[in-house]
Amino acid sequence: MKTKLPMLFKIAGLLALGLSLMACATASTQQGPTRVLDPDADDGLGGTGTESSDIRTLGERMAREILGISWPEEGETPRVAVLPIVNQTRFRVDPKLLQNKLLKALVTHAKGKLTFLARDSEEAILQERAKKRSGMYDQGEDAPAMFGADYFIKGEMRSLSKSNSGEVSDYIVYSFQLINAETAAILWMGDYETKKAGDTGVVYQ
Amino acid sequence: MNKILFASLLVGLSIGCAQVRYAETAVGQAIDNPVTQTYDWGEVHCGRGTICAEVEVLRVDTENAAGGKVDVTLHNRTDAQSGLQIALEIRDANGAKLDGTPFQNVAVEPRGETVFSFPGLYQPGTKVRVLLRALAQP
Repeated sequence: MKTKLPMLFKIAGLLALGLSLMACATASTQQGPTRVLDPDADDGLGGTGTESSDIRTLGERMAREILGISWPEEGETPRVAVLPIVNQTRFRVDPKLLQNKLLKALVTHAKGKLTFLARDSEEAILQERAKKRSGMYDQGEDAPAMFGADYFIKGEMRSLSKSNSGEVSDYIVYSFQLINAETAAILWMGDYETKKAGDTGVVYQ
Repeated sequence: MNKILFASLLVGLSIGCAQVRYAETAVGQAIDNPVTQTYDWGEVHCGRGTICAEVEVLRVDTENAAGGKVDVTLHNRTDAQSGLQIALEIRDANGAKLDGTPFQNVAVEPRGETVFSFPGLYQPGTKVRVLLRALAQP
């Protein structure tokens, strides 16, 4: 018995070690092939175009800058329409991503200081109004006129790109303007710019 | 007797698994420990201390008004181009977060300085918390 005990211990120890290592391997916050990333984090895939962090940053920055200007505090709440953002870069980026992020940040931080107009839902609104007016839906007679915009926010993305056989460099400028919708006066202008250099061959989809 | 010993060894090791992981992460933290530097205006936090060692926050200037601008001056202490991410939080006297920004990419030239502005964020009487992290997360 005395001679068998150390051998039993060894086997038991190995088994237990194996089991505990298996347990350690299964319960961890480390990620597998599909990684869940923080939206601001670099994905490590490379590329010199627009990244998720750029979209989040510019939406936040532009919204805070726009809300920081001296808006009229008396009278009716100013009405603002965000125009579709124009993408003139070589990258396939959905401009609506930028527009939505900007609008979300504006609505979040404005806290009722401004009214934002859903101009891209105009068709659905007109259809709804027509059905109300025809008596198909109620509230037809009390429905007010649609809001006209006092100001437009106009945005565009433009880039300067250059490359050699192995590397590419992209300077991208995202420019925004706040325009008086009556007088066409530019009341504010802001931009966000990035310059990135890296390998060619990363595809933006 | 042997069975009891075997069972207790198993239990001991299963419990020990978490302790092993604690030890592993503690070693990792000791090698590249999180750093929090406290100043009159607030604090700088780096999840990985090496980031704070390479890039330092030289100064933070605030526009003393509700929705004021916060300017953070960064200094790259190394001879290489630094790419990092910076975020800002506004916290009240009890440390509760009142407002914040997403992490934003910033590049600082070798041995250079750059002023990074955060518009519309400051609130008088609050503390600023600057968060720095590596651009590429390992």
